Amino acid sequence: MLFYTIRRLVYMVVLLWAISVIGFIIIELPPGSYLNVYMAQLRARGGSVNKALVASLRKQYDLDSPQYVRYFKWVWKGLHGNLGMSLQKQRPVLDLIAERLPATIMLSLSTMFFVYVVAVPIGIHSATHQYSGGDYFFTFFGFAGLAIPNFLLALVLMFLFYKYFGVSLTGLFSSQYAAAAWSMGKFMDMLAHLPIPIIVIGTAGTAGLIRVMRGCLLDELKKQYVITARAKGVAERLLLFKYPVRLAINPVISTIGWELPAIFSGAVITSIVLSLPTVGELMYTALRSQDMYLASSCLIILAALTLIGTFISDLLLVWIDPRIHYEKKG
Amino acid sequence: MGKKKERLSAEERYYVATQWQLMWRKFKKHKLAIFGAVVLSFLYVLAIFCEFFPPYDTRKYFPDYAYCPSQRVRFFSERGKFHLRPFVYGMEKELDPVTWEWIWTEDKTKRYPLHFFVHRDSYKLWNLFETDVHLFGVEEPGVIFLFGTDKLGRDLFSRIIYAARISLSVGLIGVAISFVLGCIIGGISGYFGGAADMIIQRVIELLICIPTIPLWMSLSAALPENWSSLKVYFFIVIILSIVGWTGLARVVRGKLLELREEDFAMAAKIAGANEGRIIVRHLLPSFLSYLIVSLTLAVPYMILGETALSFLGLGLRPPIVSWGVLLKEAQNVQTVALHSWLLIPGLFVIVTVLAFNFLGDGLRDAADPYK
Amino acid sequence: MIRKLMEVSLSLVLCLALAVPLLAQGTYNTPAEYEKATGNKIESFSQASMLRTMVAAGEILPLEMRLPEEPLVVEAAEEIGRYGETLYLTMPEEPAGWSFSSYWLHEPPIQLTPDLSDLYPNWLESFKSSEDYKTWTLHLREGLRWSDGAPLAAVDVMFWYEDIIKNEELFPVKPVALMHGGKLAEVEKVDEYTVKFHFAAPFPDFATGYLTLPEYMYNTGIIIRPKHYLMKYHIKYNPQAGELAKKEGFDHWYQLFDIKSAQGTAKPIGKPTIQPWVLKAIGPTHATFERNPYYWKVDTSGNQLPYIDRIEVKSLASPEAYLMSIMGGETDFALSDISMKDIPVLKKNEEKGGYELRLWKKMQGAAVNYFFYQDYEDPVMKEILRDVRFRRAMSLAIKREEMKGLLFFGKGMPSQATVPPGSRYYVPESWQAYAQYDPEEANRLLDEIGLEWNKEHTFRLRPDGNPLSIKIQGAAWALAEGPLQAAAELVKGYWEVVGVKTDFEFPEHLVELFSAKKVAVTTHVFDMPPDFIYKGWLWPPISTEWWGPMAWYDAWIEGGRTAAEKEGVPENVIRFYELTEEFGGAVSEEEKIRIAQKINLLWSETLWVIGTVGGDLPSPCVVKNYLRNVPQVGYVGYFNFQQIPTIPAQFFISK
Repeated sequence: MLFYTIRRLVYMVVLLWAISVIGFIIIELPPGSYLNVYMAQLRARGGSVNKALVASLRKQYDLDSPQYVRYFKWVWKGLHGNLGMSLQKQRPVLDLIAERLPATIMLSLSTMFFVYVVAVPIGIHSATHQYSGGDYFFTFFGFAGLAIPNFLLALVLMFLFYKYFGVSLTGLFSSQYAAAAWSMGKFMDMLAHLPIPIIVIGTAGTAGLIRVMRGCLLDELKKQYVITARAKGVAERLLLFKYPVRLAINPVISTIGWELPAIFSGAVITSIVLSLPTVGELMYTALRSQDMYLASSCLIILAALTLIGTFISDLLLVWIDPRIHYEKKG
Repeated sequence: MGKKKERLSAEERYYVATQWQLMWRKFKKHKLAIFGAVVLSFLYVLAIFCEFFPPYDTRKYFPDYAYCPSQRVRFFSERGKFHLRPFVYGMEKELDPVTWEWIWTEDKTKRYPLHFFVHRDSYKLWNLFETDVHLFGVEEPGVIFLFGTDKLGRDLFSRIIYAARISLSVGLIGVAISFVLGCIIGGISGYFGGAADMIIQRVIELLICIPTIPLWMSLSAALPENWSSLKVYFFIVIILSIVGWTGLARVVRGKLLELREEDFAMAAKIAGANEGRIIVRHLLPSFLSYLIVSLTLAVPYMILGETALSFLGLGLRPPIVSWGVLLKEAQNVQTVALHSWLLIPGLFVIVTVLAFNFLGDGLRDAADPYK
Repeated sequence: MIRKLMEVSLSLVLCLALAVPLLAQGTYNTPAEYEKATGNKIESFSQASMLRTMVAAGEILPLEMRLPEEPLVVEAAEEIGRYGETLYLTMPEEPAGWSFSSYWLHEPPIQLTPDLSDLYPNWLESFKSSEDYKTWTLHLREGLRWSDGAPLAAVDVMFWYEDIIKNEELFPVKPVALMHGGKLAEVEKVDEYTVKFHFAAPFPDFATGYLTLPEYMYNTGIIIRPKHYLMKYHIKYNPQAGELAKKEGFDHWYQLFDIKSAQGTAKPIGKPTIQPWVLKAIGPTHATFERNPYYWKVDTSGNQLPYIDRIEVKSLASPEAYLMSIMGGETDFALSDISMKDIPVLKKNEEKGGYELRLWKKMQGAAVNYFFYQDYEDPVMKEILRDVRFRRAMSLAIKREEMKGLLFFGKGMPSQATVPPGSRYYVPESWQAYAQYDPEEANRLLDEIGLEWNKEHTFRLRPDGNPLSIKIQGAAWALAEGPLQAAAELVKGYWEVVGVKTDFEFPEHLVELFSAKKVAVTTHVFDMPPDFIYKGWLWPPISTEWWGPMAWYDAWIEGGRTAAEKEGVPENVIRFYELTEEFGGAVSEEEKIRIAQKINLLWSETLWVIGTVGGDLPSPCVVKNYLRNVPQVGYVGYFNFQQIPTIPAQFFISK
């Protein structure tokens, strides 16, 4: 177990490094740099470019030195906690990401929570009432959630809430609470803004999970010991929850971490439409203005969060079910 | 051995049926899957003959009919008279002086019957055959907008059908590329094991761990911007495949590992068959069905991916028309509030994705030998 | 002889007129001026209650010491306001960004009146020039203070000049305005509140053109900087400035200095300012501003402005979320980033959102424009683009009436991109030149150039036999400013009818393509400056690369006609540069109008830029029902910085 943990940790570090390289190369691929965009915007506004500023920015960001120099300088600084400066926002990248991390993690975790809370009972119901009306309905509902493009759903929901409840649920807080200190009011305000993103991000995951839960439980229910227990006259309810559900839930729970990439992905699009202060949304605006340090760091943070999540989930699996030995697994 | 399988009992028929026949029988039982297959065939026929089905070309616009809502096709006129030939009424508009909205009403005095197989604007089917037959149309100056029009007065129905060709083909081409990549890489990984396997597995883990949207955003943003729309289309498909193949590779590898140890493979080896023969003749058919299922389930992912990329502004762009492009044009508050018919492309996406999922589900149930 | 005498005396009168502080509609330079003009006397001054508390607690100076000797008197747009309340805004940009600063906070030395018809000294008390226009004397309001209470005086101007402008690390390239005449201007301190700018050449429009927005921001620079605050970040006054910078994550002292002294933003917190509200807190999606206790404007009853205590700004990056927030009443005022197309949906939800939708005037020549780049990389295409007949043909091929109906709700008029009606420089022939729909003439012109049709008569061929095709390109970030994409789709159709294969796209990074000369035709939306700051350019000026290489303008600036000719600048472009220089040197209004007419006609003759639809195209302005003192009709445009001339400090909330 310990050996396994260490090995996974090492893999994680290697993967993180690989991601940082990928991230940096990808960001550097587009022609031109942020400076050109900045200059263009200035000029489009009719101002001529302050050449002084441009010259100093070029020096500041080593835009005239070769790529690998920039990369290594950046990694070196990063390991010292300095992720560079965002050209567009003129603030340290670390600050920009750090202030969005809580919202990002909170949104992902609550979505995950929602997905499981909804999917597991529905999956159980579907398995025990196979081919019933309810089964078909939930299957359809689950699939539909998967099929609707996220951005469309987010926009439509945002508008429907406005039309029928008269509230505009943009961002994570309303203006009154955005700057205020934490209070009950602020908490309730945040809760009011969560349903739309959670529904939008979660629907796709819910669909898949329902099917998996259903499938696993169905498999369990066919097994010998269940038939035996039934023959012995054990009550259906007790029968269901004592073993089959708990066993069926294993693969479902243990792959909890693997929902993360999809959740972060969906969160990016939803955050863009609703203007939520997440890391994904930050990355989107950074990429559009080729704010290279910022975009790169966002990608790495998101990948790192995913890696950590899956790592925890794998540990969970091994811990819960000692039958599985990763060394042997092909 | 017997040439005829005549008058065997049902049970005997079951035993002598080939693998494929068994699958087909099981498949037929899955109602939703059949439904999915039918819908998809319908959509693909529309896409293949996309110049024939709609009444107008994708770029034809009617400046006087901007933001016109869907016209109702009727059989009964206002006075209750039944017409065998369906018709539509003309549309009239008025600008609301206060809100600046265009208010559309039917002009019941102008009746335009639908004609079928009309000769209208000529086009080149698949850029090869010049013809001018359209499935239906109305006589000018009538117009027929089954799904309404957009801001320039273009028929949404026509555009959706043309877009179907692009969106549905993106799905297939993308999956084809993923398939090839996945099979090759998964095959190498699964069959040869060892160091190659380990490296490939780590790379796959790496790609899976990076959330797809940010990865796509980064890759798409890297494309030089003076590329033609066609080039962009081609590369979008490749980008979509890049993440897609990992799933397939894992499946191929996993199955290969399993089956490699199976009895029948052992038997073939003992009998003297070489590696190639083992793979093709014995291993491949076993999980071909599994592959087909994976492919079927990968297509909707590609289609949704295309819409996501269009939304992000990184995918296909006008003047190319795809469902993603149409949805991007509809992605604003005005559409949802005032011209909601412009969201119909979304319905098409949803139905297509559902159909593929049902079909895939059905195929999977059919192919599973343990059920 | 008499005529000459009359001209000279006219000019002299005008010079003197400029020397006297201009009376502005809505503002009076001092309480004394106010009394003289209206007969009302301001008996006493008063302040907001939250400030009274702070005075009592000893946190800030008492009111008499906080106001300058002669505060600017502002006439309220509707009524005298009430103190208090928090203004809630949503903005489609990051917190405390450029737009908020520009449209709510900027204080240039000289400001436009609310109706854009005149100028008045803002925080300057007066300004006047010498007879030869080479020297400008600026007199600051005595007793002005920064938002932290420190006095503001000529030393702050000298700090800017000596330690920022003349510092090679901060400003390796000097601002354009200060280099007028080819040499860096000299700034001299005359007394505690007076400075003199000495230029190498006559500079008649220095005050009107470069001490007003936007040039003040970009080509002059903010001429007062809080010396007492910035000293510790400047290497000359603090040898430790480099270490200080390194601690904050920078490599050089001047990088930190730039952050601390940044213009165009209210950041960082703690930076002393003379703006009505000061940044107090900032987060990922919000910013909080509080009143500046040392603000130097009062209303006609002597109440110190601003009325509103606090502003909370919520950031919403997505245009849909922003529009939704306006409809939902989350913002008390909205003007930027909404346009004509949003009017229906905003109007319909007035009651639900609790606001009123007003229609303000948009300052534009034409709403959507097309520029033909004059130095395209492909030599064959370059010749075609440079042929004025081609540009005229392209203009004539556009169905402007149709565009007007589809994209502008039928409002406006077909037009070119020159100065529109309403401006004193308007020339009807120029505005309407080649704006008719005449495909026959277009075809004739193209035939004349020698661009023959191909065999199937589907499109034309270039002289080298290749199909004639062009690509229209615009910036992706400008798509929200006007119906650029829809217009491009229509124009593609129009131009293909006359045989020019057209395509369009909106890349994110347009500018690299300019410098690589890979852009043939661009499309953009540009605003027109108000008359008072008009410089004879039409937008965009050629010095911004949108239709010609920067090298041309640079050559002209450096070496005049000879250098430009050597650089290969076409004759009519050189003519254009000469005319704008003449315009800048003109003193009398008459002369300016005469030269501007020539410029306009030159423009419509050469048609480097073609417009489509212009004229009365309103822009929506959303005002919450309880927000007062916002004019019914204002002006929307980049050059007047939207609502800044309406003096947001005099808005108030009445619930």
